Amino acid sequence: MRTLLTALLAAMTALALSAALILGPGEMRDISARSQHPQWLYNLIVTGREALLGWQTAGLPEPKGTKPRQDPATARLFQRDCATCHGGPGTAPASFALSLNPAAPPLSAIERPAAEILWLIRNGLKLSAMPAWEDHLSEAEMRALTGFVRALPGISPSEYRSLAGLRWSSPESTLRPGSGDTGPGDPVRGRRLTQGFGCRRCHLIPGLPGDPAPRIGPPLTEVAARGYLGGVLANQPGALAHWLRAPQHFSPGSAMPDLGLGPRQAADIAAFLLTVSGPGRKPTAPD
Amino acid sequence: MRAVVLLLALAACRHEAPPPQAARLIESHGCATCHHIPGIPGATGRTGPPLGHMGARVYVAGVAPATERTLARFLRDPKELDPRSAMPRTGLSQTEASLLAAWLRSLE
Repeated sequence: MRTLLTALLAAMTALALSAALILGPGEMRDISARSQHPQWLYNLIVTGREALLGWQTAGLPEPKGTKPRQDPATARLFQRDCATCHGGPGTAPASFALSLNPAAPPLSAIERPAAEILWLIRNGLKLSAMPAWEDHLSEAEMRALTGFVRALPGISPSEYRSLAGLRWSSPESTLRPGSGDTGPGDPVRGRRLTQGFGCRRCHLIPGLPGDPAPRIGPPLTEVAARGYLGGVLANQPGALAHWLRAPQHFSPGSAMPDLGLGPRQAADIAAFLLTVSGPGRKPTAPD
Repeated sequence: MRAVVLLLALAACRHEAPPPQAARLIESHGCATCHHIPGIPGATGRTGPPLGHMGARVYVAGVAPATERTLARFLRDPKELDPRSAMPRTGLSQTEASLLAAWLRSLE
């Protein structure tokens, strides 16, 4: 029965995709990685993919050797082979990987049975950048990584750094007063950069389709009205661009990673986020 | 007018209303000044983040894994967890902080 339902769902997905491709608006035929699918199509793809994955791993018991673990050796393996695309707690993926589409999701918010995690590591995922690791890692390594991914939600950015042997970056040079003053940003360019730097992986952002309920960062629906950025930096004019360039300078230990943004890029992203996030603070507000 | 009130009430019901004890603590400690809190009339502050999905959040204050225990710690003394946090000391007792943290973590 379950197989039949899954097959039906897959067939309907394929049919809807073909129809949308032929009949839909221009954005349906955009095969570039520059923009996400429309939200409904994104949801359809994710639902179909999850159904198929559930079917692949249905009834499998918890694989041996995949208990949650957080040891330095596995953390270093995770940093080498997984974090390049997924990032780790408080660390960004490699620059190019921020522009992957679909993005490699941040794994701290993944809630999957161990059997599914191990299956994904072993077999990879078609039409995503997730490779099949079976021929590149040992069985023990794949199982250890499964355990590490299960432990990730409980690992703070600071703990992750010390486990994986990473240093905090210190971008003082970019933050001297006056430096990086670029004038007003361009929200149109900012929209492209917000997509390209993967902000939507962790945040809900009005007007950008993606994960309907990301759990890593706060929703960016009212940035303009927020009193503080990252809970630490007073949200004065210009502060957002500074925050975006070096969040961990302002909030040591923050899960918001340094993304390597240039001053112009940060100003543009800030302009976009302030444009889409609703009205700003009333200057007379008592808070 | 009644219809509007009813609609507003229904809209507020999307989230579980806080138990009376938690609601009293939220009111007496002024949490609503800075936070949007479901089920608390007038809690529409925007200085700090909205608390409507605290149960789904991975991190507290962006720096520590969001367990009920960590959240209670943060509620009691925010700067112990995040030295630069703009969130002030609340003066909550340990029991009060745990009670609030349990309710907030139940908000998916």
